[in-house]
Amino acid sequence: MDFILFKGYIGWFLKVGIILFIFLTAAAYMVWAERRVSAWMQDRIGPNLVGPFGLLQPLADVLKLIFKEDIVPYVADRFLHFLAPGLILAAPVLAITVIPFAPGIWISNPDFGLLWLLGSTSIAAYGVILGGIAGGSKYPLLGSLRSMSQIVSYELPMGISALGAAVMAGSLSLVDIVEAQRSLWFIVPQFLGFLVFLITTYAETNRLPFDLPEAEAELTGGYHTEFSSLKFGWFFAGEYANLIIASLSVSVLFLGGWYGPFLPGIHWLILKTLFFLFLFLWVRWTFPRFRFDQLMFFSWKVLLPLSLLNLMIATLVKLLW
Amino acid sequence: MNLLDILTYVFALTAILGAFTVVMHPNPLYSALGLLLNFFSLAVLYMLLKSPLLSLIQIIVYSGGIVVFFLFVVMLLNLRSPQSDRDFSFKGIFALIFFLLLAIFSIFGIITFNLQPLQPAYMSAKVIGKYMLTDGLFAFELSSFVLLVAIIAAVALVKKEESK
Repeated sequence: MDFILFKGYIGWFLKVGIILFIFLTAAAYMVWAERRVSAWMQDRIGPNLVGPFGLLQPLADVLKLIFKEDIVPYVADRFLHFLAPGLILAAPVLAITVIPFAPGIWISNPDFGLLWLLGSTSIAAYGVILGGIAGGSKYPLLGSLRSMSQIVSYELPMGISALGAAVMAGSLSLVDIVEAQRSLWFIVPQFLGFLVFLITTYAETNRLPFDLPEAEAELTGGYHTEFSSLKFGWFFAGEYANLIIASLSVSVLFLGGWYGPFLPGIHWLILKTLFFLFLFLWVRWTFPRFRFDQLMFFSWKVLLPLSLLNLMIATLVKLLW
Repeated sequence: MNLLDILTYVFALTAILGAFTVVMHPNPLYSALGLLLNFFSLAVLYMLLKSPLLSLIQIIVYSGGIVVFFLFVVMLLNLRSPQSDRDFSFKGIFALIFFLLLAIFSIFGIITFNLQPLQPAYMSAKVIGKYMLTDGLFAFELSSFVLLVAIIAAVALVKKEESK
């Protein structure tokens, strides 16, 4: 952003503030989108009373959550109960700082952007884990045990498949990775890597078919069972913010970021991100849940070898062309 | 003193605080979280010393992997009730002696050697990658061999229990 408005320290804070505001508002509207899309898929109507098409529903939800009583269970660990909701929202806020939206529109472009992205997803795990421990009851504890093994297992194929894109671009900077896709999106030479990365993002964001840490039917909501009021709101916002980060990273790493025919700049990234967000909702309301042993088998014996194979293919392609 | 210096001192202090929590806290869950605080502070210090790659690998591997496993073990062992070990023991005396020796040597070192402040040099992924595949190749391959041995040992241990 080269406007005169965004020069100096104040301009920098303004830029970061605007991007974070849009990001968190989008996260709130994902809740609305989820309810409308699920209603549409199940032939219901969904929230349509607050504002036109129910568009003010997120605002009403947030107000409701603010005015609810914040209940901390007697056996809960008060410090962790306070800490966990913050951690789960910290990770996507850290990740958004390196995402390039359009030429020149990003908060920062470090030459280790991809590693920063992977590192911030590993912080997101702590919100889930500590949230489960803090509640002091059995269901959240089971949910957080599941999420630990799940997140540790799926982080590996996620990182290795993302490295495929980095090898093709010859850089760890996300801007360089997007610019290397000017003529050909990485989804073509890196189709295997794209598939593995997409699947692992579903596991990292605890979405169906990998939503075992939550599993409404068996764990009554899993790790966030014992949270109420705004603390629950933070968990909710964090989950959808993570979805947006996952969709953005798939678009940036494998679908050419802002590159595309006809439309300029940021429109393409928004379109691609919206498509992947819709895919998240579509999958959630269509697929059943994995069993836990299937989940672990799938990560270690299918996804990990595939991602390693993909890394070899990427290296070969890079060396031969 | 500029902002970076202040940040360095703040995160050096939180690193020490985390290390103390690991040793002193009666609840093992909080000990693991103290380790996490320590790792994060070290990652920030690496970042301030212009070594972002090391810093992020510290976060991805140690904070994202190893501390999660510690928490996993703590929860599976059900150590939720505080188990303090405050009795007189020889372990404590040995630890104290070693700590005092270490402290004496470090103070001696700081006083006698004319220590220069560390000159940070930017360590990008390219620089480290090139070093690992040229000058540092032997150490790199050796460490990969050690890791391979560790993996095989872990698999062998698990297999042994299954056959019983």
